[in-house]
Amino acid sequence: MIDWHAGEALARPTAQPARRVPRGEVPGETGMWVLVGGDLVAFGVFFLVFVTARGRDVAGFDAARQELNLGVGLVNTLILLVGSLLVVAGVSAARRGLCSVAAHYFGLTIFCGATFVAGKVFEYTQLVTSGHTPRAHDFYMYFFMLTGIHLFHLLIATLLVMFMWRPARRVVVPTRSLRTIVSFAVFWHMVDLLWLVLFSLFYLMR
Amino acid sequence: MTSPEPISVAVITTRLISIRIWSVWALLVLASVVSAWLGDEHGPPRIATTIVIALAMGKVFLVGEHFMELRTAPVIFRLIFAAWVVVIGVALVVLYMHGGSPTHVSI
Repeated sequence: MIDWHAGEALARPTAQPARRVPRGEVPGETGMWVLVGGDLVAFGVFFLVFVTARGRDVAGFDAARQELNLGVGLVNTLILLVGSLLVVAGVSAARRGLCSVAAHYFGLTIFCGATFVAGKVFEYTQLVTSGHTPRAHDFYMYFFMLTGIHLFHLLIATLLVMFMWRPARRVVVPTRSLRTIVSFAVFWHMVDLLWLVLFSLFYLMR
Repeated sequence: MTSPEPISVAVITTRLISIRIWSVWALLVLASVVSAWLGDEHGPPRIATTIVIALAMGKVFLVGEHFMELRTAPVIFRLIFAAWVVVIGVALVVLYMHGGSPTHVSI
């Protein structure tokens, strides 16, 4: 349940304003951005390799694409977007010192992460049982490989949100924890961002 | 002290998230639904796919600027990220156009 007292504090005109994010400052730890940069470059290459491979067998890739469940893909996209909104709300609450409220949002984000994983397991099972294995066609090989790497990233992101959830449950969020929370939030958003491209390439490119 | 008036989760969420973030999020959802519609065999394939790629890269940029808080980050971070979005977006469209879409689909 939401901490009503914290909610009341937020409703008062004297409620602690959100700490302004200073301009020109790196959001979170610089180390996290090095990791994010590396992932963006790696996935950027993956995207280009996939579209190049598609160009060599357009009809085959398009036929394979039609076997994917677009509904599951769209729902998964929306789940990650909801998760991202919850992370933004959680970070905003943590900045205002509303720790228990932040913890609720991070808890809900973990639920979003778990739902995405469940959707992927359902999709993978559906594909494999109908014979669309990575060996069946190059499209599926790329699909399983790239969405698999992405799923691994999502599991890490969910694990990081679990770590955010713990310090957020404390009464006071120390500045160092706040920096860590922002860094982990950045990682979650990167996972969301990568999925937005993967969804377009695998499910919608025709 | 009077007992605090219960405040719904929706009210707290509304106050924690700025109008800017709500607008960006609504755009992201709308763009995703429009993309899915285009990908679901609506419209000429080449035009639809080009729009889908453009929307995807636009969404990526919005997530970076607003959710990852790059809008308040050092200029160099923003430039590198924007460059990544543009380079990957343009390369995807060029490679897609090179391959194209099937004239007929055989299953």
